[in-house]
Amino acid sequence: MTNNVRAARTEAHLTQAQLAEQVQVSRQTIHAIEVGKYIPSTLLALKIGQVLGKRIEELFRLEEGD
Amino acid sequence: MTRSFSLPVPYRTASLWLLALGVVGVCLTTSNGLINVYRVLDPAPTMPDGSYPYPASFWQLNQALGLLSVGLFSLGSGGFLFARGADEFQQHLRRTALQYAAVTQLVLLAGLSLSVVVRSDSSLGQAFPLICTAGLVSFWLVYGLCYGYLRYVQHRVK
Repeated sequence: MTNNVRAARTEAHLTQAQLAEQVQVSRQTIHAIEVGKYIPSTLLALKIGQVLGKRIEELFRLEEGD
Repeated sequence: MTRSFSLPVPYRTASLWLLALGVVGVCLTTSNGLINVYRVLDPAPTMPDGSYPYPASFWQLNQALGLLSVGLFSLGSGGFLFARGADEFQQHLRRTALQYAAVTQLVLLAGLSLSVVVRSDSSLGQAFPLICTAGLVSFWLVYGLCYGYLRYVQHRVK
């Protein structure tokens, strides 16, 4: 799975810490999601989408083999 | 709303304190350290050679304190393991560390038990407390090391 969270966050002019605060997780969690080391739960993915003004499909994409 | 057995986040710290108290209590009671507590609280009966006479109720109190400590340790361990992480990623790291610790403990317990059975100079019954202690120590050691590595090395945020 790939994601565009970093690009969407930059586009929304938010830092990792600000996004983390808005979705009530740690900055470490946002970092792990952005670098693809952690796949968030549906709930967290929806929250991130809501804060960044994007749909889940725009933020997360399945790769071949997933 | 989903239901789960997990406890709220603040239980983790409280449980860690209980766990630590339990460990101190177990160390105190298994090494006759309680006599030194008597010595500090009431130094009057200390003999000229520095020894301290065992009070009549010493062994009952030692046993009661030992049981209480094991209870605190168990309660603390349970509370700590069932308490939720600060967020879902930390919860994920805790779960991963828990899996490694559980597998290590099982392998160690099986290995130690097997080695005692194969060697004929000691019985499994005699070695049981030692095997249990080794299992517990290895569990918490691996859990701590693994969680520390995952959280502060592998997923370090600059």
